[in-house]
Amino acid sequence: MDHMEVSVLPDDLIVEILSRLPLKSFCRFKCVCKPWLAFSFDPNYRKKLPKIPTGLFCQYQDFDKKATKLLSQPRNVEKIDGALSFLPDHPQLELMDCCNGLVLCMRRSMDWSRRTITCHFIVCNTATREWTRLPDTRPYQEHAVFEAMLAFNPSCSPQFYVFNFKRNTFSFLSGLQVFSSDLSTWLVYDAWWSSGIHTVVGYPHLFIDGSLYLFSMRHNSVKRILVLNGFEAMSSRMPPNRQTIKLPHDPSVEPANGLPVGLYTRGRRC
Amino acid sequence: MATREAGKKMIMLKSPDGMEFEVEEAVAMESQTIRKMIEDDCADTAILIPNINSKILSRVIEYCNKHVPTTGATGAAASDTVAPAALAEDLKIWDAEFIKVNRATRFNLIQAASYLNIKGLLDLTSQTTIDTISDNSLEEIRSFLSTKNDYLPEEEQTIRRENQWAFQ
Repeated sequence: MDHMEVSVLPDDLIVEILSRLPLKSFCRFKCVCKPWLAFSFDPNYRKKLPKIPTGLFCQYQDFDKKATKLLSQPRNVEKIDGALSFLPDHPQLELMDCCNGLVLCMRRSMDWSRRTITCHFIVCNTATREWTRLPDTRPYQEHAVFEAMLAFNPSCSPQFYVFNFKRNTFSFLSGLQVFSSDLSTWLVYDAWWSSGIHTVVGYPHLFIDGSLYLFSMRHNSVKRILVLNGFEAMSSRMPPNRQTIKLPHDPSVEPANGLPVGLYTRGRRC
Repeated sequence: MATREAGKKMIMLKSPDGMEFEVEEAVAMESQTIRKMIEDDCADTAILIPNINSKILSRVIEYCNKHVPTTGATGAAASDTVAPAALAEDLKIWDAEFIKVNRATRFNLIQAASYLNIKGLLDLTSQTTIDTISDNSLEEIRSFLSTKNDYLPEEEQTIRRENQWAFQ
């Protein structure tokens, strides 16, 4: 009678079962065996299975208020509050950066008597609505322009880092303050940064596999990519590693105005 | 042959081990696979259901009987008086009892639900399975779903590191 009883289910029914998992559990189940990991890449199955939610944050300026929106709500997850309305002072927050699921926002405040600006940063997880307020930055002179970057890779470390650069009059990145979530404090690396680095444009930037990539441009010279990594060293207040990658000189990809253009891809060096 | 009994059209389902089940057409049509056969006029003789033995087929029919929507025309006056919420709650309790079966029977029910395309039964069996194992260790999951760990130790280390947040 039981000759047709099954002890092994075919792949499509395993996928049927796995498709009911929340994303976090599914990531754990991918460690069960190789075929289960491969399901996420299979064109027949991947639509069904939970995926890392992805979306595009956009910010609109409306007088003194800022409106943040998340375009393309991801499937398989509860609705994400793209307006970030769960954050304090959210209408005044500037969207600065996103990295592997965390979002970096900033609000400026002006001290009119000293004519200085202080940055107030918030890092949040839009999926869980958890957020943390970073300690205030040091005061900067009036009209200072900042470029803040977030570095977070949960596969490597639960720590995150916020790089806050000041732009000088030529629009290059100058002074550097880094927040380490490990130490819960800002570290000042102005002297280290300005020693030999005068020409980093910074934008677009990318954080992949523990390295932050920034554009660097020297007058009449080859363009370079600056790579920062080894952030763990900052736990003992040491600066991170830095190295440069020379870009091949190719006039065909350089626009007439001389600004660098670049596209990044995700991959691994072999 | 399809027969008529008390005004209801009956369908004959046959399991590969030779058992025959006479069911109301509406009940059989809970299965989208059978519905298609009926709509394509392929159900004049008994429908052979391959790969599903009589024990499982009888459980599937039991499920469909319970879940077939009751209409006023079939004389189910009770459905007019019972609130839909209470009816849904009653079905939920019934489902929970229905799925209290051993692992092999549950796997057979999943396969049957998939082949016969009965969404409610597939949802019930798959969800119950995932609820059973979602908090288990990787080794327990492998054992329950009869799969082997084919990662090399260093590969397993890498994939676990990449997904370490999911283990916290």
